[in-house]
Amino acid sequence: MRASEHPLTPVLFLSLSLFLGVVITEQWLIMAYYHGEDLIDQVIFTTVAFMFFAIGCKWTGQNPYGASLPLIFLLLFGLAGDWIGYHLHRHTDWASLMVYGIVAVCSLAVSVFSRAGNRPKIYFLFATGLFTGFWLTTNLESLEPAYFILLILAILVIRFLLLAKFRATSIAITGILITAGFLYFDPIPVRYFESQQNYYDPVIYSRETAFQTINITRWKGENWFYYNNVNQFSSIDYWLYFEPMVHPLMQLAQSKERILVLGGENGIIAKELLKYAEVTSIDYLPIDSTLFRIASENHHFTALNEGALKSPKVQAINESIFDFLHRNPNRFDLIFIDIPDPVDIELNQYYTREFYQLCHAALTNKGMLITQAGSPYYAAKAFYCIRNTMEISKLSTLIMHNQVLTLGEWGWIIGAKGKSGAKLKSEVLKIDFHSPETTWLNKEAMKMMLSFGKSFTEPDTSINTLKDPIVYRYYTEGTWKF
Amino acid sequence: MNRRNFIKTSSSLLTLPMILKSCGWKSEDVSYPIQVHSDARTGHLIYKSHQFEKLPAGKVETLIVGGGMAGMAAACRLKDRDFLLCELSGDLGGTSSAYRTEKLTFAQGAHYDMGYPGSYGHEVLELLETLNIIRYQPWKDSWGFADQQYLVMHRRKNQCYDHGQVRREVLMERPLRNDFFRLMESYRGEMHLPTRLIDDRYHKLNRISFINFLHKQLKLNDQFIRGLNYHLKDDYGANAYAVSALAGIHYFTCRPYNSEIVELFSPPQGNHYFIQRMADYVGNERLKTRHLVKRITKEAEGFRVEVVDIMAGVIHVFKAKKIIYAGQKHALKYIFPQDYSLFSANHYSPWMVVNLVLEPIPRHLGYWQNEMLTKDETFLGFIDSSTQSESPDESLVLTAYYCLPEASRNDLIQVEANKQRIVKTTAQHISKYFGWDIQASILQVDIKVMGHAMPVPGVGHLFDDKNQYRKNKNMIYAGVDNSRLPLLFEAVDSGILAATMV
Repeated sequence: MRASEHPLTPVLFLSLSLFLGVVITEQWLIMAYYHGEDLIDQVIFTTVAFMFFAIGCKWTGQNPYGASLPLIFLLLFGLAGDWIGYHLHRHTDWASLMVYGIVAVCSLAVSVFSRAGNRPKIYFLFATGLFTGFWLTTNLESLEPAYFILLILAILVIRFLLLAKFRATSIAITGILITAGFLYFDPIPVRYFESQQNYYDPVIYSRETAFQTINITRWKGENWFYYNNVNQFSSIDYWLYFEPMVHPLMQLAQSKERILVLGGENGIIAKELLKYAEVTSIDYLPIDSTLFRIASENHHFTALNEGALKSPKVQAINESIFDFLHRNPNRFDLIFIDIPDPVDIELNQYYTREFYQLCHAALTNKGMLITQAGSPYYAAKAFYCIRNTMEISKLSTLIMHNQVLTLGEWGWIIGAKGKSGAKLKSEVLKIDFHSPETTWLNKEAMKMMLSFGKSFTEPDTSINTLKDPIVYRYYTEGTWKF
Repeated sequence: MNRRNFIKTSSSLLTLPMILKSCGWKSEDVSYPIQVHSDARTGHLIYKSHQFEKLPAGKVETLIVGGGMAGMAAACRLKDRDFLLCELSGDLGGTSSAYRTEKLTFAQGAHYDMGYPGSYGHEVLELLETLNIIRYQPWKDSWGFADQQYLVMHRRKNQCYDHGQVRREVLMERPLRNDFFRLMESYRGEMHLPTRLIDDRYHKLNRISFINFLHKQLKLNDQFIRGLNYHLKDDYGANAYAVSALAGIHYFTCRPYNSEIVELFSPPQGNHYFIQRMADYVGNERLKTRHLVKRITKEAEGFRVEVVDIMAGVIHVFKAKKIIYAGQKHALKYIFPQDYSLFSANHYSPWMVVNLVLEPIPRHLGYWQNEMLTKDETFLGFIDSSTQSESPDESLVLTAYYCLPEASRNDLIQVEANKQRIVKTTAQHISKYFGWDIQASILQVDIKVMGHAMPVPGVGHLFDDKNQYRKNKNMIYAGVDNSRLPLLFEAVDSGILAATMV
């Protein structure tokens, strides 16, 4: 395979260099995708490519058959570079080193085809191919390295036909190419998300709604759900959050026919509620209606909520929560409030006196509600301020907390009409949680959830209102001090 | 994979005033149609109407000149009386006009309003409640909008682009920002709408400029002033040097922006939504579009009004007992010269609104208001329709706003000749913002030119209702260019007030 032997040989070599350029630029882009910034120095990148090409020209020139290993690597990265990079990067902390390694091996592979040694023509073709490949990859959206394999294959086939000389190397290469080509057309689906750079685990779903960005990552076969890059729940232990949210209130309630859910877009509350046959209607007021729609249809969500949002008992209402509470003539037996933490004044609204007063009015005389209330340890002041605010809105309260493994310590507050807080507590402690069956929650667990130990904070008496919003400030000032 | 595509645009785009100064750039080929709406040809129409036949058209008790927000509000209040409204353009709305076809709707002017605190003027609130536009929210003592699908999500409200950098707010610089808002906070709850409700003790703020007021209290820097200028231009068409301290303070404190969620209402047709409701309420028979009020003359028993019926090519001569003049006051020079001097101190800023209709872009989700601080200070950024609708297969409409200096007004005649250049420059600004070139996605463009879009609330502009000095008690002036802030609420209030005076 001397460079001057056949007119197609330089073309073949140029195509290979171009292929190399495409393959290694892909790796570079995957790294940028994962790590969000260019860790690779262009000068070192190019130097490594040329250095290993030069080494290869000297060394593999003697024994082309022995150099087939780097060649296999080059093909592998050409055909499945996306997939390999996608899976490798998330397990490594030495990303740039890995990419330099790939550049080195692949450059070595191209040198197999240059038995002519250090001739300027070879270097010129190499550089031209490499930089063209780089340029094409960064500028053409739909470029696939596999196209170049087909090109090389075509050149080889033409060459064999013209020469009518079947050489062992050529046969071997053609064989590998054809096999690899077939393998390639059994495509391995790899989906890329812009949000990946925020996560260590692979992002398997990403969607932006008007309200927030939703991401789902996968770790050891389990899904973790993030809204605005904050973990909300995971398939591992979601019941540690949702069982305490639903069952104590349902077991306490004498009447549980008409239910209102505020927020709770993921639909897991609905699934738990539907375990009670007495429930006749669940009115759902999502804050993020797009997320509600996703949770009704997307399999990552329906795997956890079992399609509960499509139940005929569930009605989604597209109205602002305040307006609905104000205008709706129906009374509810129970209200479940699962709204994101009060991190800003918009979310703060749902933890105010005005809000609880409207909820109070929307409840039947023996009605009750439960709200998630952030972490009682991370943002203790916010947690107790929410309780004060509920009490001033004529709701007797009962505070609960639980250790959700993937989230941390979490807190809820029950608010009840026509029943004292002490009565609530004594009644909750009597529940045995036998029917419906729970995954984790039992009498003992309930006892643990009601115990808070000693507190170090001064009792806070402040009230959160629309005109004077404070909970969001307390929350964002959270320090784990309690 | 998401490969970054860098847009190769030259970093120094021409500013709009520069484009307008040139007469006709070598026309560039564009594949999409560009339509220009302008009132620049009114003069020609008046000249042409000299040949039109004059026909007596009978009597009317009240003739309303101008079908903008003020004139329409007056019509609503005169619904059960004898009135006729004449509007020069083909559609009602004035600076709140809209483009409406079956498939496509977008605002060509004022495009939003916000929830109203309970302390605002009851006259306007009552009218808007009658029109089913707003309803009372007792839990926060304010008025919210009934059509909730047009409320813009708080988180998608705005994003600021300042020379290549994206950030949340125009005014970001701390601690100056905190000092500024602390100063503003002391006026919270005092800056009502309509402005006539503002307590006398604040009237002195109307007599100094906002920048002088601020210089006395804070150590401002250029960057901050630039941000302030941006904000004020967006609402008042003039910067901190030109507007009064009262107008400036009002901008930041008329609603509890920093402590509460203020409803932001932005239907696709913009504030034409209000106009449509008003027109439905009074009925279309007495609302005459393409009717130019050419001349008003005082007679023994009221007024003689010459109205050019543009479509029919005739002049109707009405006898009106009373007139509510809710049109632009600079035109009084020709229509009713004896009262022009009342308004000769008014300054108006010209605006140009460029609506770019793009093919649907899957999964695109933008910010509602995209505030852009670029080298072209007349370019204020754009509104992104993706925040106004959830439907993914609708065209994307980007509404770009230019607020021009008064000196550029005479150059607006050049918009038609330079329209391709204007669209291209606008598209380049927006492409920079998005990080990809929007030009290939443009389906059609609509340019609205308004020579007198906003009266500038300069020093001494407010609290000087010209109706106090009028010589004819049956000639009543409405509109924000009668000593008001250029805001919807003020316009409606002025119309209602005028209606109560007839």
